[in-house]
Amino acid sequence: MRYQRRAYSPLVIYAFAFVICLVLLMGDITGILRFLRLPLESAVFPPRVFIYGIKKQIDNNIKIIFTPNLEAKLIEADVKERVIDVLESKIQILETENQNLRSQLETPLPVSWDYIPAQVLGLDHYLIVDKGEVDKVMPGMTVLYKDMFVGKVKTVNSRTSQVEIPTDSELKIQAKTNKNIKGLLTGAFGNQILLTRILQKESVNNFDIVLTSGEEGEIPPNLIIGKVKEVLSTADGVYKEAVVDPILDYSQLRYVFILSSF
Amino acid sequence: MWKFIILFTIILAFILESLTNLPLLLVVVIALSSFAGPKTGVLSSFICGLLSDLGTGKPLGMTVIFFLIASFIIMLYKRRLKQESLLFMFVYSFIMVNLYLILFQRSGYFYPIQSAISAFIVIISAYILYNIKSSQ
Repeated sequence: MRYQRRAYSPLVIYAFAFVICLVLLMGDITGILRFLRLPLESAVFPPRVFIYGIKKQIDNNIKIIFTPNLEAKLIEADVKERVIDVLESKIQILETENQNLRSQLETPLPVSWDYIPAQVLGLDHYLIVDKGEVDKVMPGMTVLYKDMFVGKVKTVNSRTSQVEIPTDSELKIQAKTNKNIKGLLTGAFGNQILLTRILQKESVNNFDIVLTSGEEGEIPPNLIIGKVKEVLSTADGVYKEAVVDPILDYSQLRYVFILSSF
Repeated sequence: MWKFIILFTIILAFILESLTNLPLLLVVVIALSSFAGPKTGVLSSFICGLLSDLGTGKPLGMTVIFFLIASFIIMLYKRRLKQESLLFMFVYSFIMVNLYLILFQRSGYFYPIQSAISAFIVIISAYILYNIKSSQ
C-alpha cells in the first residue's frame, strides 16, 4: 500500500509555524522553556566567541590600512598585537584569580567589590556578554571596565546577558560632573549620550568629566562615563543639556566586569 | 543537494552576520522564500530566527516571528513573482531590512545603506537561485 503525502496549503503551514513560534516565545519569556535555552546557547556560543575575536582582528587591520604612515603604523600594530596577546593571557589568569583583579588593573576601586569577568560577544543595540544565570548574573547589575561605566545588565539568559550601554535611550541614570553638577544621563539616537536636567544657573563647560552619581543605589558612584563635548542651552528653558563624549568605544570592548556586589 | 546548499547558506550567513552589520539571516530567508516552497520558507525562517535569537540573547521566537512574516508576504506574492520582478524584490527587501533594523536595533533612525546593500544581496541571490532552478 502506497501512502501519498498530503499537500497542505501555504497558509496552513505558516499558521502552524506561527502558533509554534508563539508557544516558544511565551515559554521562553515565562521561563518554562529555559531548559531548552542552555544546550542551544552552548551550541551557538563557542563559534560566536571565535567569530567575534576574528571581527576585532579585521576591524583593527582595516583601521591600520586606512591610517596615514602605514609602515610606522604596521610596526606599532605588531607591537600592539603582542601587547594584546600578553594582556589577553593576563585576563585569563585574572578570571581564575579574581582577588588580584583590582591591583592588576590598577584601578582605584574599593577592594570589597566583587566582579564577574565577562567576554563581550557582540553589540546589537545591547552589549552581549558571555555570562548569565549560571554565573549568578542578575538584571540591574553594573557593568564596568576598569573604573569606567559600561552599562547596566538588562536581561539575563542562561549563559549570556544583555547590557544597556549609555548610548541607549532606555538607560537613564543619575550622573554628575567633576564639579558636582548633577543631571540625568540618557542616550539619544543610539550613538549619543546626553546629560539632561542641568539647572541653567549651573556652570558646565566642555571637557568636564561626567561620572555616575550613585544616587539610585544600584550603580556605584564616581565611575567615569565620558567628558562634556558640547553644552546645549536655550535662554528660556529651565534646564540645559550637555552632549557627552563617551570615554569608551563600546564597539571595541572585548572584556568587561560585572559588579556582583559593592 | 538543495538541503545541503540551504544549510550551508544559513551557516555562512550566521557567520558573516556576526562579522558585518548586515542582517544576512533575513536576507537568506527572503531569498529562499522567493524561490522555494512554503516548507523551505518556514524551515529557513525557523532556523535563521532561532540562530539570531540565540546569538543576540533575545527571547526565543522573537526574531522567528518577524522572519515568518517576511517569508509569508513573499509567499503570498510568489505566484506573481518572476525573474523580472527583481525590482519588487529589491524594494521589498529594502523595506523589510529597514524595519528589522529599526525594530531590533531600536536606535530610532533609518538604515538606508545597510538596507540597500542587503536588498542588493537578496536580488543577486534570488537571480542566481532562479537560474540554477530553471537550468535543472
